[in-house]
Amino acid sequence: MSIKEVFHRFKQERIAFISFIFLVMLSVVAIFAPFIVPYDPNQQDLVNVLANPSLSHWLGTDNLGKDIFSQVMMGTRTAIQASIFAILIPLFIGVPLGIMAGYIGGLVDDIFMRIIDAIMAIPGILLALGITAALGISLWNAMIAIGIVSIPQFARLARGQTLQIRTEPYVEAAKISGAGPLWTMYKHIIPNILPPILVQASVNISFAVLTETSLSFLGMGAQSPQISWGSMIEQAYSLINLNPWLIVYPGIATALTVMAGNFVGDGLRVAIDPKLKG
Amino acid sequence: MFTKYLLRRLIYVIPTLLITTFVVFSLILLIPGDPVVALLGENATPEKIAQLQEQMGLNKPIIIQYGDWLLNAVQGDLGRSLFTGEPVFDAVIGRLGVTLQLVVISTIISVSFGMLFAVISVYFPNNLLDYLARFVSIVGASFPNFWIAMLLVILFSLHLGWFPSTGFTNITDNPGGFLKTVMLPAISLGAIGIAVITRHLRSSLLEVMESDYVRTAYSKGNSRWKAIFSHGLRNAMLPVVTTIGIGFGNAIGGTVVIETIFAIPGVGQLAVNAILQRDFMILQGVILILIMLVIIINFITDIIYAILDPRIEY
Amino acid sequence: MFTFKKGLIFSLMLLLILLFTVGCSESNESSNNQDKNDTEAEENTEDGDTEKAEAKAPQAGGEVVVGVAGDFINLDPILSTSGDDYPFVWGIYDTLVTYNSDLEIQPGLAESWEFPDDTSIVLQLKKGVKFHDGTDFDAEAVKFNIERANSEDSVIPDLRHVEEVEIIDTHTVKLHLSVPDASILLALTERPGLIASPAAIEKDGEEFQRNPVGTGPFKFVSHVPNGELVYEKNEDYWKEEEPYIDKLIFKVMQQETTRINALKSGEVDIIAGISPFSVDSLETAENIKLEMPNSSHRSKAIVFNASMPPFDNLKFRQAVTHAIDRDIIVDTLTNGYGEPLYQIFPNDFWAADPDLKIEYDPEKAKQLLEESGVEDPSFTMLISQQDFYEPMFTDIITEQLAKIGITVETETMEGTAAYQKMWAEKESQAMSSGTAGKPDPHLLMEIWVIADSFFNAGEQTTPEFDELIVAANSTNDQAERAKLYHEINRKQALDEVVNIIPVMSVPIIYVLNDKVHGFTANGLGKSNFNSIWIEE
Repeated sequence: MSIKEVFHRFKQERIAFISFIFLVMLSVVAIFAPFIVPYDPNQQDLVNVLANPSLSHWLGTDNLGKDIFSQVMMGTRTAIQASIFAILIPLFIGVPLGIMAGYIGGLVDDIFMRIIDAIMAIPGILLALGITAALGISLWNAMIAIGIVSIPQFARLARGQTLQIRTEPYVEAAKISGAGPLWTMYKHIIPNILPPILVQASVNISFAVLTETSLSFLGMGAQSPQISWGSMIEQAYSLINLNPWLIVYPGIATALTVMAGNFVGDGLRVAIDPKLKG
Repeated sequence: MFTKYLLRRLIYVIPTLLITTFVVFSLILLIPGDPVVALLGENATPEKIAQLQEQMGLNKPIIIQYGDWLLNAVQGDLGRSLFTGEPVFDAVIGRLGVTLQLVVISTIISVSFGMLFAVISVYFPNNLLDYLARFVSIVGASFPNFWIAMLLVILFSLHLGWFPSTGFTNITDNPGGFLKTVMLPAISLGAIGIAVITRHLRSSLLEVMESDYVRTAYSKGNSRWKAIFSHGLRNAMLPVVTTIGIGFGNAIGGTVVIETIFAIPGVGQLAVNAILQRDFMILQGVILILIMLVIIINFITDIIYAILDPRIEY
Repeated sequence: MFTFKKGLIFSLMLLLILLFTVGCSESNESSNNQDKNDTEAEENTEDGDTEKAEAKAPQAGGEVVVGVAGDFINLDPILSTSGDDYPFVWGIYDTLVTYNSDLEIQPGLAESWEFPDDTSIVLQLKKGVKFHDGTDFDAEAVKFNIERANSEDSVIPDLRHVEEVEIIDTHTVKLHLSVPDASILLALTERPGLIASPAAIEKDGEEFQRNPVGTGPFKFVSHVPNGELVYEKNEDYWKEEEPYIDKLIFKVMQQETTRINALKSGEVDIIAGISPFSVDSLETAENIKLEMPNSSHRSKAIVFNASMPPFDNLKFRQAVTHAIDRDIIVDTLTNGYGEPLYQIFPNDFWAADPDLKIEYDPEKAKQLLEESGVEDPSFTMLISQQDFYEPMFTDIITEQLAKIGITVETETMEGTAAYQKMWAEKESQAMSSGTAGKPDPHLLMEIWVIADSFFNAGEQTTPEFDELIVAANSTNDQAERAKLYHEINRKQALDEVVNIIPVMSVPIIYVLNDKVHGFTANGLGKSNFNSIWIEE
């Protein structure tokens, strides 16, 4: 099945496609946020604190007069960065490990699976907290932690797929014809396991965004002047008695991003395997 | 057959526990900031620090410290908290009761509401109720649980005054108080479960409803309700059981944040504090017991699976 | 897969409506209350006045729940390292002497005291006082506790000048000092003066900290770490009427908003550690009153290591202190409840120099910076996470220093880690920190200012400065001491900028349910709940 075909089918999954466009737009906002925000999101305006939404401040201001809309836009940056980390780290560490374990099999595979099981048994957020604390509290480290926590998922998926494909006739044939293991992995296994990995990657966006907001909420992620939707919610929570709306905007921004990630995942799943369409 | 399966499961547990405890141990020792400094406060001179480290055995190499810990753990002694001196086992078990009550209620909420929404959605396709059910299944999984918790507190606690905003009452102390205190945190924890279960059950139910035997039941003149309940649900639940098991594990992870918001003295809060204070004795105990819990839950999931599906073999 | 389309649009609309309802109803309410607020605030102050004037008769009975931000470190007097432990320990133990809300010394377990000469103090102890375990409080117990405070296991440094405790009779002790030390008596108002039961300590050993026994108004019942701490009334307490309440419970609620919500919904009666920002929203709530000390001894300050560049340069340090616009910081961060600080004592404390003021003068700062010869001036400042005013405080400082050309890099760390890096390892240039108050100025000098004190990371001093500190502690005449401290403050904060740049005082705010009476907030942040009573 060619990528073109998958993309064609994916385009027909309306919601998924819209979500995909949405994520692309978010990424664009994330890249250009510092240039397109109406205000410097950290600029205090002590005359204009806790302002209601207006033409000049679309979503109002917080207790130091910072523009909420600009903050939400800058928060996009953090969310997208976290997502990228949460995809790239497991992609370049988890997937190769998984393929190798699946390909080699035997004792190596057994040990590998025990380690994966062990790590997956620790609740993800707790592990991310521990890793962040160990690396030092910062947004980058929180993102790295989220990436590390995602490794077992990807590794396990890659291993499962490799196990399946390893025994396929054409792989066997390639082996018999003298192809080296690296060549076999590259030529046959990677292209075949890519689609499910892609699905996992888009679903992982949701995990990354939710975990990043949680860590930032607990004060283990974004540190001022960095802005995260999680730390915005945390701040807004202390102001709920003054303006409950402040809590709403970053919450909705988070939810929309998480939804988009899930929809893209669903759409991809169907596009790759049309039988799944229910 | 079954005992053999059980035995295999148990043997697999051992390396899992060894690896995780070692990972946690090395992780926590990497965290900057020494618990000894907090204990000494303004007397934390280098000499005093070294002295107390030696006294507490914290200056030995990691592998030896781990070995010491392991040796004691095997004999059932998980050590004492570096800060409060409380035996780790007592601390964790005391908190675990609270967290379990919370998580069980949240799972009950997820499962019952999940089933309700799924059945409604299948029974009234493309009706307002169907949309409502799907709405929940999308939205419930998209908002951070702490955000949901805050909205619930604003609405039900500060605005309507129906439920308290903090604290926890044990079910054994006061069942009424328990229900009141557990409701908001359990819903915040369970929201994602409601969404996931509604979603899975709905698609699984739709699939089953299309199957031959349900169609046959229909043709025999059974009502749609009856078809759903007597045939559909049981078969459709099967793939959902795993989801429920995973959901239970996720809910335990979720307590990390939720317990902080509601000031509930449970395992999640204990773990966060242990990380922040570097009380690795406590953290080690928490992780150990949580993993055992996850394993037990997986095991129960398997048994339920077996009960629901007689075809399964080990 | 679902077929969404209409479903999704519908869902999103529903969500918006839902949120709108939540948001609207809330903001409506707060605006409604806004009007009420003004009148109520007035009533509150009137209430406060009348209460002080008439002093309603206290009622006995009931229980009080206090919502606190964090748990204690240790309930054993010699193992407690945090000033935040005091509100917990005051209930269990009495001190030999005590202070009132103006930090004036009052009798405690010692009824009276005298100074026969420069290096000795005689304490007359109260008779007929019993520990919770039934044993008698006497001179032996005092000797035991002071010797324990000076032992190897203890973290208390304040009594190191006490050479010997002599028992004169069963209820008289004489403390022999190695050097004249005016701070000893006031030190006995705090941790060093807490008297624990010798019998219980001998019996329980290490377990004593989990089952503390003193002579105080409350007995320890149970403790769940980071959960709750329960005390019950000591029926045999030596003060006839106190305590009024039957039960005192502390509940740990780490988030400020959680504490506020709990107070509003009546789950707790008193909350501690409230930020000035929250006060506005709390005033709109009914049946709630604020309690603050007259002046706060807690401060926000920049502390630095004077042995590391660029802080080893006096002109640079002076440039920094003149570049800080304290008024703006106080306005922005304390909502009018704080004060700008120019020395390490609150402005109305007897040891503070009322005339000492550090002008905000960017031109002078720039000039000083130039004179300092520091090229490319920049430094890294640690921020401790568990701080109310962070990161705003550091943001403003960074901005203000940037104006005169100093670049500040920040590094956020968890509390203990920052503490360790700054003071135990002495590896950081500066930290955004704060000082907690001590009842006697010298006690603050001992830990913050003198060259080998823990918080003087760069061990910065001059011989002249050292002499001043010793002299100020060698006399019991407060007027003379005050004069010397004025000089010390001027050197510490302006002429030599020793190791701390004071910036602002940190308001100490408690919020109480209206029915709670008899509570006074303490300016050191070490309030006690011993005289509280509940109006039915």
